[in-house]
Amino acid sequence: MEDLNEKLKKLALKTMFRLSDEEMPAMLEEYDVFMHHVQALEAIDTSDVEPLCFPYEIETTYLREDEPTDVVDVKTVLANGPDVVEDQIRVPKVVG
Amino acid sequence: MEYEAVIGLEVHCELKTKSKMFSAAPVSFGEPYNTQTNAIDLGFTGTMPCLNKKGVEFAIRVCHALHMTIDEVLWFDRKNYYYSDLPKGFQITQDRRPIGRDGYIDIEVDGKTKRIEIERLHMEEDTAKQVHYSNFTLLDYNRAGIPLIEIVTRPTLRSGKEAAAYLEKLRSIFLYTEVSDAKLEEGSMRCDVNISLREKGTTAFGTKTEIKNLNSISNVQKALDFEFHRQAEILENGGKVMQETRRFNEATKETVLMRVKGDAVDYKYYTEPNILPIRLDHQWIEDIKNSLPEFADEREKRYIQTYALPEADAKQLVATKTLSDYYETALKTSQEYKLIANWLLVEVPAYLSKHGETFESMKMQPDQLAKMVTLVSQGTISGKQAKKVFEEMMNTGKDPDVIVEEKGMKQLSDPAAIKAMIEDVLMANPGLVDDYRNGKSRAVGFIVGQVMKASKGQANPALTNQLVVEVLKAKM
Repeated sequence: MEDLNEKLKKLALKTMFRLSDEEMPAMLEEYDVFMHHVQALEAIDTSDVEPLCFPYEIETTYLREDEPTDVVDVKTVLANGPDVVEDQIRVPKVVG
Repeated sequence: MEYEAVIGLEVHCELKTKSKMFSAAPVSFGEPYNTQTNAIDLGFTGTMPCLNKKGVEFAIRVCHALHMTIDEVLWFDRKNYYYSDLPKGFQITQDRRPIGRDGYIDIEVDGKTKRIEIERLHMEEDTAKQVHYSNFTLLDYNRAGIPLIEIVTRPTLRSGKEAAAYLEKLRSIFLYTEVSDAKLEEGSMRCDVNISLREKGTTAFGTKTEIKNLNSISNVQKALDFEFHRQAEILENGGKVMQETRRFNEATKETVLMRVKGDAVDYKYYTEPNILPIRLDHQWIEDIKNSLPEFADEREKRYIQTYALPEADAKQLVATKTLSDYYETALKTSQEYKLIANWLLVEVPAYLSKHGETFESMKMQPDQLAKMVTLVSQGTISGKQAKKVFEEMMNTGKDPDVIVEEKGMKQLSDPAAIKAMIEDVLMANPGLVDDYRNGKSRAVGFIVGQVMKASKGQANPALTNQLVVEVLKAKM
């Protein structure tokens, strides 16, 4: 079986958060608790059960008419941008 | 060993709605950065997406044109990934229940018809536009949220040529259903391609590569042709094709490695909780289907069967919707089907390429072309004069009647006047009657030429020819 430490590191990478060695013991503990929950759930037979995605089992019919009625001015759009250049947001380059 | 290619295409098409797919922010191009967006597009906390009716209508139009089964209940999913072009951290798309399923397009390659199966059509939203510089990237959110449809084939395509024919047909459907301007070079139609090889006659799939950066249909074909040979060579030498993403280099016409695919990205799809299932009105869907304009295939059939156009002409006319629409409008003024088609397919492109102009910006209106063709068929102007009128219409956009009047171009069709001119020629050249009597038919051509000269090209050539023969025969 794959080493649990390695597995958690891989999962952390896939879900895009950093997992330090100091955090690992706490994570292992949490993981154990979490897996107990999963085991409890797995004991329930769900073979004919549809997943519940919404709190109400209703359908709607509303579709919005195609009118451009809601636009925010560029100052507001960029207000939270930590690094703005020529009305665009500058971010680190992550493609080769 | 003989190999065959197994090719799958994923095509994205931007819909030309006025507002975005899930927000009422405007959709317009060429506007200043970050001025066409709102809190929903930017993924601000607490905002709720609200589906665009026109976006759904456009998707239904294309579904219908592709002979698909339409799901009358709309479900949306979240595709989660972390990238700077995606303000919300997820894209709203349709994963489990696409609006359209199980369609097809019939293509023609090398004179044979082949059915290309389409697995699905789903609706989603576009991402922000990124412009990459040497060590940073700039983001413009104007594109974020623009409606997209994605169309995925089953692996039924077998060559670059088939892929190109499929894309041409699909593009024509986007244009005829009027849902998009479908320009590959501008990104309103985009194409991802994957290709694997297998030994001919076997059924298992080989390892596929994906090719990106394809901004024209001819590049799709070139990239696939190159990739076929590259993979065949690897297999022939006992090697293994790696699962990788490659990029088409336009300069060298080769595909080059971008990245080797490791673990597939896990998009952690789940149902979009902010959009409850939406049931579409069945009658509304039927109305959309029934109101669709005629498609290219139907037009082509009509041109051949009703207008008796040669197949090649019909195909060429319908290949571009603007051209075909122009032809349709011209036919409202004149029913000279073949003559109008000839002008549109021969003289018009020649003029446009000579003057570096586009069909869309052409000054000559459809009814003007039709009127000019009528002037020719009624004998008011000669074919030679028509070319001059045509040039003038293309240059100035004036009506053919006005041009004929201004240039004094009216063809001379009065038999008495023409006969008088023939007699003049015979008087000046007394040997001609003898020549004709001795079987020298050249005499006729000579006399016609002289009459044309005398009339400054205005004598009706067909009538003149006929009268010359009559006059000569009378003197025998």
